Amino acid sequence: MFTLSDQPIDPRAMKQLIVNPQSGGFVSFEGWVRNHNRGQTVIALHYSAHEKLALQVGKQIIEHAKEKFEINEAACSHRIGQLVIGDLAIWVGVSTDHRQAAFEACQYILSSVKKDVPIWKNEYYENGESGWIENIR
Amino acid sequence: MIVTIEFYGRLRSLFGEDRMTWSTEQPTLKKLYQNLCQWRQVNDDTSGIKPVVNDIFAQWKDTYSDGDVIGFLPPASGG
Repeated sequence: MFTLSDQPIDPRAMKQLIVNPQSGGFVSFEGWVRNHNRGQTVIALHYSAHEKLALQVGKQIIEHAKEKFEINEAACSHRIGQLVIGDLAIWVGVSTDHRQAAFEACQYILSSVKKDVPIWKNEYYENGESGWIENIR
Repeated sequence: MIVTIEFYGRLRSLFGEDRMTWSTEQPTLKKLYQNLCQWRQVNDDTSGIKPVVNDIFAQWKDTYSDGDVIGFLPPASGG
């Protein structure tokens, strides 16, 4: 499952979507808005997306992860809209029989989402300026 | 042809537009993008930018039709 949300992400609710009796392992990643980037003091940021394609590409990443790794369930939710320092921007979670696949699949989903899902981050700085960020491919 | 152009991410700042109607006779998406760059006097380098036609990923060499919605997507920066 891949979702975009203009409301705060609830990590406990996300976890409930993927825990199940057959899984002995669970790995999650939470990406928060931090107060600095590239030497600048960040006060807020705004995520925008091509929502239809973002959902499509995000779903494909989750499906590919299920084919590539021995996992039981996987989910990812990404925020859009205005966020402030400390807000949860992205949540990724994977449940598996064993731990190694959980770590690897979580890393794979996170990296793929950052690289391929059409979402863009505009940072707002303490000095009043703003700047679009592009992830290093 | 009349098409709708959508810019995303940093391209919104670069072109000063989110969405606009555009009259064009350019034959391909690449020619169309270069024409838009010429209009705004910005660099027409397409590396890393993906064209989209009616919410479907397209190729730069692709043609398009009257009434299409054409999007230009810069490299992603989620997460």
